[in-house]
Amino acid sequence: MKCDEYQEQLSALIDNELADQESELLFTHLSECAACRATLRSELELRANLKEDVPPLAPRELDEKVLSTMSKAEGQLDARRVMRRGVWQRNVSMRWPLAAAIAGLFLIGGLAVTSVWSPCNKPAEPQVRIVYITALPIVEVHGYFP
Amino acid sequence: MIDGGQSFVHVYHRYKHRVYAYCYRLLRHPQNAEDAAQETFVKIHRSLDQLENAASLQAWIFSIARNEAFTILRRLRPMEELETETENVWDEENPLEKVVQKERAGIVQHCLGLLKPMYRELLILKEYEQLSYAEISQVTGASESAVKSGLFKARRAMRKKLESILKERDEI
Ligand SMILES: [Zn+2]
Repeated sequence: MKCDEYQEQLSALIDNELADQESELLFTHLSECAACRATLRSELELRANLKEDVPPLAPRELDEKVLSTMSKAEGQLDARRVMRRGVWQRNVSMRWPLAAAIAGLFLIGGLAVTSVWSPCNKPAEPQVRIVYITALPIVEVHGYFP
Repeated sequence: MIDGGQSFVHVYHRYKHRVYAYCYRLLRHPQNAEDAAQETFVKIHRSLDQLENAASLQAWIFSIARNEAFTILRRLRPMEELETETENVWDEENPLEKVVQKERAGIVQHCLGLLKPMYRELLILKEYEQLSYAEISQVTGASESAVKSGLFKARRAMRKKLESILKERDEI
Protein backbone atom coordinates (compact mmCIF):
# COMPACT_ATOMS: atom_id res chain seq x y z
CA MET A 1 0.00 0.00 0.00
CA LYS A 2 1.20 3.53 -0.81
CA CYS A 3 1.65 6.34 1.72
CA ASP A 4 -1.33 8.13 0.19
CA GLU A 5 -3.59 5.21 1.04
CA TYR A 6 -2.18 5.00 4.56
CA GLN A 7 -2.84 8.70 4.95
CA GLU A 8 -6.49 8.22 4.05
CA GLN A 9 -6.54 5.61 6.79
CA LEU A 10 -4.94 8.07 9.20
CA SER A 11 -7.90 10.34 8.72
CA ALA A 12 -10.22 7.45 9.60
CA LEU A 13 -7.97 6.46 12.50
CA ILE A 14 -8.31 9.82 14.23
CA ASP A 15 -12.08 9.54 13.70
CA ASN A 16 -12.02 6.17 15.43
CA GLU A 17 -13.49 4.58 12.31
CA LEU A 18 -10.73 2.16 11.38
CA ALA A 19 -11.11 -1.59 11.83
CA ASP A 20 -8.67 -3.29 14.22
CA GLN A 21 -6.86 -5.14 11.48
CA GLU A 22 -6.40 -1.99 9.39
CA SER A 23 -5.22 -0.11 12.47
CA GLU A 24 -2.58 -2.73 13.14
CA LEU A 25 -1.22 -2.49 9.60
CA LEU A 26 -1.29 1.29 9.80
CA PHE A 27 0.62 1.33 13.08
CA THR A 28 3.22 -0.98 11.61
CA HIS A 29 3.61 1.39 8.69
CA LEU A 30 3.78 4.41 10.99
CA SER A 31 6.62 2.83 12.90
CA GLU A 32 8.57 2.71 9.65
CA CYS A 33 7.50 5.89 7.83
CA ALA A 34 8.47 9.35 9.04
CA ALA A 35 6.34 11.08 6.37
CA CYS A 36 3.14 9.40 7.58
CA ARG A 37 4.07 10.13 11.19
CA ALA A 38 4.42 13.80 10.26
CA THR A 39 1.02 13.64 8.56
CA LEU A 40 -0.54 12.16 11.68
CA ARG A 41 0.94 15.00 13.77
CA SER A 42 -0.35 17.56 11.33
CA GLU A 43 -3.83 15.94 11.26
CA LEU A 44 -4.01 16.12 15.04
CA GLU A 45 -2.81 19.69 15.01
CA LEU A 46 -5.47 20.63 12.48
CA ARG A 47 -8.09 19.00 14.66
CA ALA A 48 -6.86 20.93 17.71
CA ASN A 49 -6.98 24.21 15.74
CA LEU A 50 -10.50 23.50 14.52
CA LYS A 51 -11.62 22.73 18.05
CA GLU A 52 -10.43 26.14 19.24
CA ASP A 53 -13.39 27.71 17.52
CA VAL A 54 -16.14 28.63 19.98
CA PRO A 55 -19.50 27.52 18.61
CA PRO A 56 -21.90 30.36 17.86
CA LEU A 57 -25.00 30.28 20.08
CA ALA A 58 -28.50 30.37 18.67
CA PRO A 59 -29.86 33.93 19.00
CA ARG A 60 -32.72 34.55 21.41
CA GLU A 61 -34.94 35.57 18.51
CA LEU A 62 -34.90 31.96 17.39
CA ASP A 63 -36.69 30.95 20.61
CA GLU A 64 -39.42 33.47 19.92
CA LYS A 65 -39.78 32.57 16.27
CA VAL A 66 -39.82 28.81 16.76
CA LEU A 67 -41.79 28.57 19.96
CA SER A 68 -44.42 31.10 18.84
CA THR A 69 -44.92 29.24 15.56
CA MET A 70 -45.32 26.10 17.62
CA SER A 71 -47.95 27.62 19.86
CA LYS A 72 -50.20 27.96 16.80
CA ALA A 73 -50.27 24.20 16.58
CA GLU A 74 -50.64 23.97 20.33
CA GLY A 75 -54.10 22.41 20.27
CA GLN A 76 -52.66 19.42 18.45
CA LEU A 77 -49.76 19.19 20.85
CA ASP A 78 -52.00 19.41 23.90
CA ALA A 79 -53.94 16.43 22.67
CA ARG A 80 -50.75 14.39 22.38
CA ARG A 81 -49.55 15.44 25.79
CA VAL A 82 -52.83 14.49 27.43
CA MET A 83 -52.43 11.04 25.91
CA ARG A 84 -48.98 10.78 27.43
CA ARG A 85 -49.93 11.88 30.92
CA GLY A 86 -50.64 9.49 33.74
CA VAL A 87 -54.24 8.56 34.49
CA TRP A 88 -54.32 10.37 37.82
CA GLN A 89 -53.11 13.54 36.19
CA ARG A 90 -55.71 13.31 33.47
CA ASN A 91 -58.49 12.73 35.97
CA VAL A 92 -57.66 15.76 38.05
CA SER A 93 -56.62 18.10 35.26
CA MET A 94 -58.31 21.47 35.04
CA ARG A 95 -57.91 24.82 33.31
CA TRP A 96 -55.61 27.55 34.53
CA PRO A 97 -58.25 29.97 35.87
CA LEU A 98 -59.78 27.23 38.00
CA ALA A 99 -56.40 26.13 39.32
CA ALA A 100 -55.50 29.74 40.09
CA ALA A 101 -58.82 30.24 41.88
CA ILE A 102 -58.23 27.18 44.05
CA ALA A 103 -54.69 28.31 44.79
CA GLY A 104 -56.08 31.72 45.71
CA LEU A 105 -58.59 30.09 48.07
CA PHE A 106 -55.77 28.18 49.75
CA LEU A 107 -53.85 31.38 50.10
CA ILE A 108 -56.77 33.35 51.52
CA GLY A 109 -57.67 30.39 53.73
CA GLY A 110 -54.09 30.29 54.94
CA LEU A 111 -54.10 33.98 55.69
CA ALA A 112 -57.36 33.67 57.61
CA VAL A 113 -56.05 30.72 59.60
CA THR A 114 -52.80 32.44 60.43
CA SER A 115 -54.51 35.70 61.40
CA VAL A 116 -56.89 33.79 63.72
CA TRP A 117 -54.22 31.65 65.29
CA SER A 118 -51.19 33.88 65.43
CA PRO A 119 -50.70 35.51 68.82
CA CYS A 120 -50.71 39.33 69.21
CA ASN A 121 -52.15 39.79 65.67
CA LYS A 122 -48.66 40.25 64.28
CA PRO A 123 -48.28 39.64 60.55
CA ALA A 124 -47.12 36.05 60.59
CA GLU A 125 -45.02 35.96 57.48
CA PRO A 126 -43.42 32.54 57.85
CA GLN A 127 -46.79 30.82 58.23
CA VAL A 128 -48.24 32.62 55.24
CA ARG A 129 -45.25 31.50 53.25
CA ILE A 130 -45.79 27.91 54.29
CA VAL A 131 -49.40 28.00 53.11
CA TYR A 132 -48.30 29.60 49.85
CA ILE A 133 -45.74 26.91 49.20
CA THR A 134 -48.30 24.23 49.97
CA ALA A 135 -50.66 25.76 47.46
CA LEU A 136 -48.05 26.11 44.73
CA PRO A 137 -47.79 22.49 43.62
CA ILE A 138 -51.51 22.48 42.93
CA VAL A 139 -51.06 25.34 40.50
CA GLU A 140 -48.08 23.64 38.94
CA VAL A 141 -49.71 20.26 38.53
CA HIS A 142 -52.93 21.52 37.05
CA GLY A 143 -51.54 24.44 35.14
CA TYR A 144 -48.62 22.49 33.74
CA PHE A 145 -49.82 22.52 30.14
CA PRO A 146 -50.79 26.08 29.38
CA MET B 1 -33.85 8.02 21.17
CA ILE B 2 -36.92 9.88 22.08
CA ASP B 3 -39.38 8.41 24.54
CA GLY B 4 -43.05 9.17 24.82
CA GLY B 5 -42.54 11.79 27.51
CA GLN B 6 -40.10 13.91 25.55
CA SER B 7 -41.69 16.89 23.93
CA PHE B 8 -40.77 19.04 20.99
CA VAL B 9 -39.81 21.85 23.35
CA HIS B 10 -37.33 19.57 25.05
CA VAL B 11 -35.79 18.58 21.70
CA TYR B 12 -35.71 22.22 20.65
CA HIS B 13 -33.82 23.37 23.72
CA ARG B 14 -31.47 20.43 23.55
CA TYR B 15 -30.54 20.95 19.91
CA LYS B 16 -31.09 24.63 19.12
CA HIS B 17 -27.47 25.69 19.62
CA ARG B 18 -26.05 22.74 17.72
CA VAL B 19 -28.43 23.17 14.80
CA TYR B 20 -27.78 26.91 14.67
CA ALA B 21 -23.99 26.43 14.89
CA TYR B 22 -24.10 23.83 12.12
CA CYS B 23 -26.13 26.15 9.87
CA TYR B 24 -23.94 29.10 10.75
CA ARG B 25 -20.70 27.29 10.02
CA LEU B 26 -22.06 25.98 6.77
CA LEU B 27 -23.71 29.20 5.54
CA ARG B 28 -21.31 31.70 7.17
CA HIS B 29 -24.14 34.19 7.54
CA PRO B 30 -26.07 34.82 10.80
CA GLN B 31 -29.45 35.66 9.28
CA ASN B 32 -29.36 32.77 6.82
CA ALA B 33 -28.31 30.46 9.64
CA GLU B 34 -31.20 31.65 11.78
CA ASP B 35 -33.67 31.16 8.92
CA ALA B 36 -32.36 27.66 8.24
CA ALA B 37 -32.48 26.75 11.94
CA GLN B 38 -36.01 28.10 12.30
CA GLU B 39 -37.22 26.16 9.27
CA THR B 40 -35.46 23.06 10.62
CA PHE B 41 -37.43 23.15 13.85
CA VAL B 42 -40.69 23.85 12.06
CA LYS B 43 -40.09 20.68 10.04
CA ILE B 44 -39.08 18.74 13.15
CA HIS B 45 -42.26 19.85 14.86
CA ARG B 46 -44.34 18.68 11.92
CA SER B 47 -42.67 15.27 11.91
CA LEU B 48 -42.61 14.45 15.60
CA ASP B 49 -43.95 10.99 14.86
CA GLN B 50 -41.01 10.14 12.64
CA LEU B 51 -38.73 11.50 15.33
CA GLU B 52 -39.81 8.74 17.66
CA ASN B 53 -38.78 6.09 15.15
CA ALA B 54 -35.51 7.62 13.96
CA ALA B 55 -32.52 5.29 14.24
CA SER B 56 -30.29 8.18 15.26
CA LEU B 57 -32.03 11.24 16.62
CA GLN B 58 -29.13 13.59 15.98
CA ALA B 59 -28.57 12.29 12.44
CA TRP B 60 -32.27 12.79 11.74
CA ILE B 61 -32.18 16.33 13.09
CA PHE B 62 -29.03 17.24 11.16
CA SER B 63 -30.41 15.77 7.95
CA ILE B 64 -33.34 18.18 8.22
CA ALA B 65 -31.00 21.07 9.04
CA ARG B 66 -28.85 20.12 6.07
CA ASN B 67 -31.79 20.23 3.69
CA GLU B 68 -32.70 23.69 4.91
CA ALA B 69 -29.13 24.99 4.71
CA PHE B 70 -28.63 23.56 1.22
CA THR B 71 -31.95 25.02 0.09
CA ILE B 72 -30.56 28.43 1.02
CA LEU B 73 -27.22 27.68 -0.64
CA ARG B 74 -28.95 26.62 -3.84
CA ARG B 75 -30.95 29.80 -3.82
CA LEU B 76 -27.78 31.85 -3.39
CA ARG B 77 -25.79 29.88 -5.95
CA PRO B 78 -28.28 28.53 -8.48
CA MET B 79 -25.67 27.76 -11.12
CA GLU B 80 -23.43 25.69 -8.92
CA GLU B 81 -23.24 21.93 -8.54
CA LEU B 82 -23.17 21.86 -4.77
CA GLU B 83 -23.10 18.16 -4.13
CA THR B 84 -20.96 16.71 -6.88
CA GLU B 85 -17.61 15.37 -5.74
CA THR B 86 -14.78 17.27 -7.37
CA GLU B 87 -11.02 17.14 -7.39
CA ASN B 88 -10.79 20.76 -6.33
CA VAL B 89 -12.21 21.11 -2.84
CA TRP B 90 -11.86 24.92 -2.70
CA ASP B 91 -14.72 27.31 -3.06
CA GLU B 92 -12.53 30.31 -3.81
CA GLU B 93 -8.83 30.71 -4.25
CA ASN B 94 -6.20 32.91 -2.69
CA PRO B 95 -7.20 33.59 0.89
CA LEU B 96 -3.67 34.83 1.61
CA GLU B 97 -4.35 38.53 1.53
CA LYS B 98 -6.97 38.57 4.25
CA VAL B 99 -5.44 36.15 6.72
CA VAL B 100 -1.89 37.41 7.11
CA GLN B 101 -2.43 38.92 10.54
CA LYS B 102 -4.50 36.19 12.09
CA GLU B 103 -3.66 33.49 14.61
CA ARG B 104 -3.32 29.93 13.45
CA ALA B 105 -6.80 28.92 14.63
CA GLY B 106 -8.20 31.97 12.83
CA ILE B 107 -6.47 30.93 9.62
CA VAL B 108 -7.90 27.45 10.00
CA GLN B 109 -11.40 28.91 10.29
CA HIS B 110 -10.77 31.06 7.26
CA CYS B 111 -9.67 28.01 5.27
CA LEU B 112 -12.70 26.07 6.46
CA GLY B 113 -14.88 28.82 5.05
CA LEU B 114 -13.15 28.50 1.71
CA LEU B 115 -13.86 24.82 1.28
CA LYS B 116 -16.69 23.88 -1.03
CA PRO B 117 -19.85 23.46 1.06
CA MET B 118 -19.95 19.68 0.71
CA TYR B 119 -16.39 19.31 2.07
CA ARG B 120 -16.87 21.99 4.70
CA GLU B 121 -19.97 20.19 5.83
CA LEU B 122 -18.11 16.91 6.34
CA LEU B 123 -15.59 18.58 8.62
CA ILE B 124 -18.31 20.41 10.55
CA LEU B 125 -20.31 17.23 11.13
CA LYS B 126 -17.21 15.30 12.16
CA GLU B 127 -15.12 17.80 14.11
CA TYR B 128 -17.82 19.88 15.76
CA GLU B 129 -20.89 17.68 15.87
CA GLN B 130 -18.89 14.48 16.33
CA LEU B 131 -21.15 12.34 14.22
CA SER B 132 -19.99 8.89 13.18
CA TYR B 133 -19.39 8.09 9.51
CA ALA B 134 -22.66 6.15 9.51
CA GLU B 135 -24.51 9.18 10.86
CA ILE B 136 -22.81 11.57 8.43
CA SER B 137 -23.80 9.21 5.64
CA GLN B 138 -27.39 9.35 6.93
CA VAL B 139 -27.29 13.14 7.02
CA THR B 140 -25.66 13.76 3.64
CA GLY B 141 -26.91 10.79 1.68
CA ALA B 142 -23.33 9.95 0.67
CA SER B 143 -21.97 6.44 1.23
CA GLU B 144 -19.75 5.82 4.25
CA SER B 145 -16.75 5.30 1.99
CA ALA B 146 -17.48 8.62 0.28
CA VAL B 147 -17.64 10.23 3.72
CA LYS B 148 -14.30 8.68 4.60
CA SER B 149 -12.56 9.79 1.41
CA GLY B 150 -14.25 13.21 1.47
CA LEU B 151 -12.97 13.85 4.97
CA PHE B 152 -9.51 12.76 3.94
CA LYS B 153 -9.53 15.11 0.94
CA ALA B 154 -10.86 18.02 2.97
CA ARG B 155 -8.26 17.54 5.69
CA ARG B 156 -5.40 17.06 3.28
CA ALA B 157 -6.38 20.24 1.43
CA MET B 158 -6.73 22.13 4.71
CA ARG B 159 -3.32 20.95 5.92
CA LYS B 160 -1.64 21.95 2.67
CA LYS B 161 -3.37 25.31 2.49
CA LEU B 162 -2.53 26.01 6.12
CA GLU B 163 1.09 25.10 5.54
CA SER B 164 1.39 27.41 2.55
CA ILE B 165 -0.38 30.30 4.30
CA LEU B 166 1.83 29.98 7.36
CA LYS B 167 4.90 29.84 5.16
CA GLU B 168 3.80 32.96 3.26
CA ARG B 169 3.04 34.73 6.52
CA ASP B 170 6.42 33.92 8.01
CA GLU B 171 8.14 35.20 4.89
CA ILE B 172 6.36 38.53 5.06
ZN1 LIG C 1 4.01 6.42 4.79
